[in-house]
Amino acid sequence: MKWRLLLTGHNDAYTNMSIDESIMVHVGQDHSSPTIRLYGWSPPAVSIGYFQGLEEEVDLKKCKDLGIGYVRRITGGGAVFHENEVTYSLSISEIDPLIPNSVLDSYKVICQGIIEGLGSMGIGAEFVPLNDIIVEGKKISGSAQTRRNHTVLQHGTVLIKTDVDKMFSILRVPSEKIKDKLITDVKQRVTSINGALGKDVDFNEVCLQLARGFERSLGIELEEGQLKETEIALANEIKRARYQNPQWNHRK
Amino acid sequence: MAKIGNYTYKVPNGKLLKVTVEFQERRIEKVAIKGDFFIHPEESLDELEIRLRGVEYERKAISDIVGQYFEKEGLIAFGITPKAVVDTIMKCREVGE
Repeated sequence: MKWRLLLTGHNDAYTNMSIDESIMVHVGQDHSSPTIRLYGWSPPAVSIGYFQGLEEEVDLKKCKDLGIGYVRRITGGGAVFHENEVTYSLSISEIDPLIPNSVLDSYKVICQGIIEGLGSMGIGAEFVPLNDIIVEGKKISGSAQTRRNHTVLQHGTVLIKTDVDKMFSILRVPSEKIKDKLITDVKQRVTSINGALGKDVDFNEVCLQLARGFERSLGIELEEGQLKETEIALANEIKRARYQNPQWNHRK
Repeated sequence: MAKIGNYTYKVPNGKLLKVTVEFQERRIEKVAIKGDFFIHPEESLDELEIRLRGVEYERKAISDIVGQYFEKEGLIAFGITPKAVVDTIMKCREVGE
């Protein structure tokens, strides 16, 4: 079965989230084939989960000072600092037999593509429910899924390199007192492709390996394509109405 | 005088639940349920927050509403439980000022 592969490079937070949502709408209306998109973030940005309080989780002044973007996702889950990583998104009809009906099972099936991709780079990774991928006990990837109009959108991050200190300069912690301990903990619990391999791997190489990983694990053929004009137009509309809108980002 | 209570609770084997309750004497004025959990469909949580407005601030009334919400057909939740939501809302009253 042929799916579309989109390599959209690096974009700002609002653009990235609006493209994912626009693809989901098009796939849901059968106007686009099932799609895997691989992308990055420029400037770096923090995304928060649908249910999180923005100012509770993110130091907005620090973001501004450091030129870091911020956005609320349409998916649940936690705050993520996106810098040196490949982000994937996968959009497919909920009734496609490749995707289990259960959200829990579908996380596993989709994450298998990432595990395959990491495996071909020499990294032995495993899935940990609900939505994590770990390497030797440390998290390397996290995902979040939403289902709307009988369509599944799952997006997630695959870390290439971590900067935990920078991450905690913009993410709020429960108290300053435990901040140092928290940073030490997270450094021990999180890894990355570069960290696992002890060498630097290029963004495009990671994209390529992840794409092949999804092909093998899902038994699909990915054909590189472009965003349709209608997808770009809808993404722009969604960006204005939702992701750039303070009412959305500050709703909690 | 209206009071505001904030409470953060780590759901056992689950996610972090952060609740803010604005209340007046024995009545809830507004509840915000926040955190890194998952609920499908996402928009449905707004309905729960709206249903809790004006409700008497006591466990039974709150448990009934929260329980009904989580039992709704098609609702799927990860990292959050009805009990955790009720307990955290009740905690907000204790710490409210």
